Amino acid sequence: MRDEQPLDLLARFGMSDIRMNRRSVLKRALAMGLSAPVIAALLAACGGDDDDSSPTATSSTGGATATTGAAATPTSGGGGTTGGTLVIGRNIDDIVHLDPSSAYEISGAPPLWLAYQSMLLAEPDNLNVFNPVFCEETPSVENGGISADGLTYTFKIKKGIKFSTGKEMTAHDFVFNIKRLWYRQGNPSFVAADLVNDANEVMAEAVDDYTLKLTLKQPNAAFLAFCAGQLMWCGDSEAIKAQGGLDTPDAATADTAEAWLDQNSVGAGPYVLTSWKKAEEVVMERNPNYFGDPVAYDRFVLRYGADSGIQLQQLESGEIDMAMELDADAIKSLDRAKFDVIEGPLLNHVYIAMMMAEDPGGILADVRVRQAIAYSIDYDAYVNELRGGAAIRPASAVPLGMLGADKVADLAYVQDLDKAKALLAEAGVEEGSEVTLSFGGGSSYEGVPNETTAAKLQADIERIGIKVNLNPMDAAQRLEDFRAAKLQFTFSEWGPDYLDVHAYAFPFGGVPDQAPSLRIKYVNEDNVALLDQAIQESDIAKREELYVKVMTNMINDCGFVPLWQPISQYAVKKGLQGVAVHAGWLVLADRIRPPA
Amino acid sequence: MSAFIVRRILLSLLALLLVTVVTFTLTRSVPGDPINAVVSDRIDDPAVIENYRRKFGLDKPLPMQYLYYMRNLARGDMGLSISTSQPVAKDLRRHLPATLELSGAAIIFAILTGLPLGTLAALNYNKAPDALARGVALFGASVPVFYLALLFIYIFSVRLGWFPTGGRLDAGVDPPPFKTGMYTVDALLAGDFALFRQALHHLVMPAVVLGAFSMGIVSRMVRSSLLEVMGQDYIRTARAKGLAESKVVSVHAMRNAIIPAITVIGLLIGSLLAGAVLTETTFAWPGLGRYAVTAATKLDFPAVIGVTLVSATIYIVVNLVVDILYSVIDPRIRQT
Repeated sequence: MRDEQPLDLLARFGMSDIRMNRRSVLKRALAMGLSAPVIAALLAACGGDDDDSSPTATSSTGGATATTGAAATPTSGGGGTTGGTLVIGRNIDDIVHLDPSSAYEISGAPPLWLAYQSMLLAEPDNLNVFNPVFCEETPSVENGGISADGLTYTFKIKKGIKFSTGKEMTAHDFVFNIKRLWYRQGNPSFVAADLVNDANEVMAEAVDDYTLKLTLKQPNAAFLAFCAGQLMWCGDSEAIKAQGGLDTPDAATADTAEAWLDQNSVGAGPYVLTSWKKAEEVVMERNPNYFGDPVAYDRFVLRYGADSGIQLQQLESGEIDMAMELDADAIKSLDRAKFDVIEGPLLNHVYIAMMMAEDPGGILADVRVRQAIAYSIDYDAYVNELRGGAAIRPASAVPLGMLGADKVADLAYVQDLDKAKALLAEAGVEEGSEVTLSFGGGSSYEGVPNETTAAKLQADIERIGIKVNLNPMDAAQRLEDFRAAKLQFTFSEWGPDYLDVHAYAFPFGGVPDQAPSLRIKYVNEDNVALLDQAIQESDIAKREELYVKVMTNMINDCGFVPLWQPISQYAVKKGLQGVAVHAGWLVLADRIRPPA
Repeated sequence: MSAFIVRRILLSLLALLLVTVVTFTLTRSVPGDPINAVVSDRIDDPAVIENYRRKFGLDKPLPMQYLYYMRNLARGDMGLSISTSQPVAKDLRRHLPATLELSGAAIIFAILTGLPLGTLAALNYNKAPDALARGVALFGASVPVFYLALLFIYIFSVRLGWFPTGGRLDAGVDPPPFKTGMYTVDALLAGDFALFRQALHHLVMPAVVLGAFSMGIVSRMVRSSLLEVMGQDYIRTARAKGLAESKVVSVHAMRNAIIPAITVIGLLIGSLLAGAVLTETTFAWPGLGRYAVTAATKLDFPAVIGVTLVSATIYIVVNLVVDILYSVIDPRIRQT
């Protein structure tokens, strides 16, 4: 989704400077004996252990429960009594908008799916296949939905789909929403850019009430991935207009529907947004007009939990049914007789970035030095120790799960200190040469404090004779300097804007003026040509071949080296069904059903 | 008296004006462009960046930004928060009552427990009740807020299930119609007693945690003050006149002993607002403290100035009220 703002990330894992596992702190404090007699007396008075007192206690099956994989439990079938409220805990501090034309924050994904869904959907276990949601079939060249030249996409919208307002969904609604998305010129507007011609006209057309025709400026083999995301969030156009929504070029300044759409929704999804209180909760009610299978719960609440420790307490006290952001310690501490853990890989990754130009790259301008650093890193420690095993490691900046990423897995750098030293000697780098590692202080990526990551990198790299000066910076300032290509060496995080390999290969592949390549002054003309070819290639095998070449070049050029790709772990009440980690939507909560 | 109050108010307005200058200068002097907080760095399109700059008034020179800000402030418009994209006044309207409710409950707890504890200790000097009261006061005053919060949550929420771990209401429950923004008060005003109970249920633990420090301070202050007063000649005289001990304490001793406690309570209200940041974070309480932290880290200067102005106003008003209370309780102060 972008190189995240420091606070976006903090918001996902807790407050910026108050980042602690509360249970750990408590345990340590208790261990200090500060008030042990008081606590002991109180605990003795309450009697028993967690099992006895927790209001969430369910019938214990005894023994540990298996951690299920990423594959989704089917939408329908199974489950216990319907009704009630599903409450999911997460740090939702990052949400700024829930208006589909301006929302761009990670935590907004689950409620926005529930309110608006999208034209297509990639299932959690196969992100490269897009299934129809609002249309009769996914467009393809074979079914005539995609023109032979790859420029026109035609969607046949199912008849009878109603918005929560009761009005039937038509192609005109999609046209309105796409135009509004573009003309509001907000963070997510770029997803419509391929549909905009040089005259700033959006080439979206309602051929008739149920036929939507989209025309691209140039072929884009990743376009279906766009159609499975924000580009196709569709609300009742009449209702949006009634609130001051506009689909005209002056929408950037004259559209007044945002405040209303932040608190209400008019989509065709299974739930309707009824309120959003920032950093408190998002509340949704069942959409009585929903066209799909009935959802199990009458209400859905996305509840604020600042960090892993708080979410654990919320889960254990029965206030939430599922915690989305428990860290490795919290997962280990879970009572598996009461809770299940559902895990699946995300498509984010944390990567190091090394400046390729002499200024300010210094010795890093030499590819052999960058490769030496890549060979010096103890990657297993990041995965197993810093992430407690809840991570995998892609070879290039394209995460595993994306087309072709597994094909270059063997090319991944592994720690080889001899090879690293040999490369340094070959490059003529003297012992004690220095690099400066800048990082956002006081924040973390995927639950790992940046200070920890920096210290580990320093220790690893200094083993090959390069002195690493740590430069903790204000996180916002670091981002600003990184954007301006002023940093010699840093690490950062990236997440997907859309579920396609191009969302990574293009920005990381050395295309001039594309972030984050431009931030390390990385240019690879071969990749530019390959990517231009790949984005226009509709044959999946040929496409994969092209991206594999791009990734291979990226690995050899060694400007970006991924440290880890997190595996997300959701802790849920025992027996809760239908939970799966989704790399794009985080979770499809409409599929969740109560324990049988 | 009225001249005194008018003079204090005029000085306060001047202080608030200075607060805007200092806060604006400081927030805009630190390195970093506030636009980074709103524009995703995935976005390179200058049109999008310019659109956001215009939206937040960041497209104008710095002095002009300040002048525009002050002009709008004079009209009651505190600008648009960069971090929330909402009007600052609207944000404050939501967050301030939450903090006031929490701080208010905390100070009530501190007074209701600190005062009797201090009195109990003083009247039983060097006896078991004194030791117990001093122990409780010491615990309250010395244990860090965050630790106490963790302890309470672990014991009373996770283990015993008596109180919720955080938030102002249960998940998905609509707040009462807005009157004051303080849910307990608004629920009562709406006649919704079930909602009042729920809001109170959520308020109790954070208020006790936040108020524990103040309780300790008040208790110790009342104890030492009362001990000093009880040794005065006029107390001996009152006893010699045959007054009941309860009357000696409540009418003669307490009236003088309470003055230092009021000073301390006034100062504590200020510190409660600051201390609320940790409590609000731990208990997921959507108050001013959490809002301020987010705003500061995102260089959200309209929000930072808004919070600073509100906090400064509260300090000033509380100090004014304390000064007035002095003169009401002790007429000798008014005469001087």
